[in-house]
Amino acid sequence: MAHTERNTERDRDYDNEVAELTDAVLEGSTGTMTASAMTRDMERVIIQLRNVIDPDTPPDPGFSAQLSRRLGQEFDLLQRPNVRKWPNQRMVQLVGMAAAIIFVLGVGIFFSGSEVSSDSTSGTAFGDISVVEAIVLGVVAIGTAGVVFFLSKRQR
Amino acid sequence: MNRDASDEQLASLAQQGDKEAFLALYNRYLPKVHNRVKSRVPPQDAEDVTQEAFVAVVRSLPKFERRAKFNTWLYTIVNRQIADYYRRRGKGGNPGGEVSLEDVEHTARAGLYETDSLDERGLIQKALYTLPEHYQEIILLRFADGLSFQEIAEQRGQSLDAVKSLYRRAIESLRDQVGGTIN
Repeated sequence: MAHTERNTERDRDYDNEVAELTDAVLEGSTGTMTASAMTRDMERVIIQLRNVIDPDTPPDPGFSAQLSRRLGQEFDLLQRPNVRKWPNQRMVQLVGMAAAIIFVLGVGIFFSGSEVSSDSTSGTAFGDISVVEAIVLGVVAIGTAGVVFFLSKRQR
Repeated sequence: MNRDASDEQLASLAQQGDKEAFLALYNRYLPKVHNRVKSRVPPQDAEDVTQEAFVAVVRSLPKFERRAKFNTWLYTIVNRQIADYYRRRGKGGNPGGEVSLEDVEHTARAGLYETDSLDERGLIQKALYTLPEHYQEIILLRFADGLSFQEIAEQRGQSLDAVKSLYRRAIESLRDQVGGTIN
């Protein structure tokens, strides 16, 4: 137990010595402090760290001022409200798809409506066009809408 | 602007559109960020990387979560910008923000350091970034951020003895890495 306590105390002394040495190097007052044999090699590392990081040399004032202006501009850009303009891309896509569907259905109904069908077996769900024709028209309309959607996405 | 405002208070004000609060944070952290960048990139590129880091900070400001510590968040962005710096030079780099030993060695050999400081500067930079993260951080808190050991202890919520012990072990580890190559 006593041995452990002595080691702990020795470690604490060593920790304090390295910390004080660091403070002295960073304050530029190493002349007043003599590193012990144990910390001499640590002193070299601490000095080199200070040289690499060079905390005493502040950023160039011109650079600081220029960066401050740049950041001010960036900050102002950030504050601009995100104004949604109409029509936006999404709206254009939806309107385009709806228009395509309506157009195809309209053309189909128009042309099938111009033919007078006297066939009583051609049961219709939509006026003068048969159910089959309506399904085909619907598929064509949806396909056309899909093409419109695909083309509008590619334009982005 | 209240100079005693905490980083988190200033960040919160900045998020609400207070430009002066953001610039107060910038002035407070510019020297520290610049020092941290200097410890990891060639000196002639330190200003560029510092600038990129702060631009990334202002653009990411809306994403800062107020319950987090501002400096931790800030330094994460700085580390990412340093990693991007090495990646842009085609040296690879870990997307997580760590700079590999090969990156620093390659940059050093490519002559991006001033030739007369390549040996010691490169060695220390190389050795520093092979240290475990908690060793790197304690060294950067003291050297780059200029915090006293007492301030570091308060920031980390540790005892002064614990901080000094961690610091001593970090320096020992660094000394072991560079060996006898430093004069």
